[in-house]
Amino acid sequence: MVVVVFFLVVGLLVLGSYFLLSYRINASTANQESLKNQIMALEQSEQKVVLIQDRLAKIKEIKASSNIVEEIGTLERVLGSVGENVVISQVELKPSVAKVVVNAGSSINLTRFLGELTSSNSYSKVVMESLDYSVTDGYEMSLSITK
Amino acid sequence: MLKDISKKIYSPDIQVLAGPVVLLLLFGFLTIVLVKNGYSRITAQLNELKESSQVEESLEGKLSILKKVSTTFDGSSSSVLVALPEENPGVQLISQMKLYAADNVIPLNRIEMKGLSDVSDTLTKIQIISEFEPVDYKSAISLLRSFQSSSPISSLDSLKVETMDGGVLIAEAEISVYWSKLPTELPPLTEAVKEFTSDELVFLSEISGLSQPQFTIMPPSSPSQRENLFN
Repeated sequence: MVVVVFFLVVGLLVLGSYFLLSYRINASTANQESLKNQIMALEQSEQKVVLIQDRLAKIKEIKASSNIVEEIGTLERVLGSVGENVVISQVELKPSVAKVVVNAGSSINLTRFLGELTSSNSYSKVVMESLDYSVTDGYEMSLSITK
Repeated sequence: MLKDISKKIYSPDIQVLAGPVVLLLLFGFLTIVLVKNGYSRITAQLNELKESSQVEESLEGKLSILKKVSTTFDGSSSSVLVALPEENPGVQLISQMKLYAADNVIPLNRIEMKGLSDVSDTLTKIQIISEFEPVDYKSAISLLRSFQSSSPISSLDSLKVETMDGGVLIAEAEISVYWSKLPTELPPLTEAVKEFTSDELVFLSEISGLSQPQFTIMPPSSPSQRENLFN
């Protein structure tokens, strides 16, 4: 008798669990279908998200590519150091280096300019590539500046 | 002889006990079969329910993001598409260049478009070389800085400025402008949508704030009387 009751209880538990879980799975599947339909109705929004994320990733890639934005800043600072009787006659900006050719009538003006340039501590490296002097044009100095 | 043996085995006591024992064994066997089969089925169903709930959860998340997107990012897709279009935006950049040159009172001597190259599988660029006569270095810098807040997205590759006779400055700038094919596939329906990070949102608002080329915005014209060609 006890065995029969035990068998019936176990049987009922197994069957009950089976039907309850089947019901919950069916309800979940039906809900999934309804959600899928709602998502499909918002397909345009999904296209928008995919498009925006794709474009943003690529624009970031472009922004990270080598450019002369830093060097433009360097040129602005160099222009700030230019004093009287000192003229910048040539500029060449390339990614990671700014080259400037400076003309000055006297060595005092040139020294003052160099002093301004080096005391600002804005550059990691300033290389004097050439220094020419002529009686008619005065001093011409070529600098290669790295931020 | 055989009858004697069977009588001994199937004694009245054994015969009384045989029924319940067989019944006991039968129910025991059935219980084992039921528990074994039931357990495996219930375990499978529990796994199915778990997976189904996870899919449901991801779909709900995706739906909530899409609902938010449908109202939040109304003009953003067109802004990013102007910033990085599907086709060569060289003409738009030249248009912007002319506009900024006029703003800075800089005559443009020459504009050249060349050097088409692939940056990656999906990204292509072309170089625009322009020669202009800035009044001074500051105006040249101001012209170049304008491109940093301008759409389509470009990168400043190089700048060369020389002082000609009479103190006239001649500058040559190389600017790259980019384009990329549009994505052609949507992720699977059950795959979650990546939500925008705060950095991406800031970046998106920056892109939306870039100055647009003038001819991408078509001003609506007021309705006018159609000309009758037969009069």
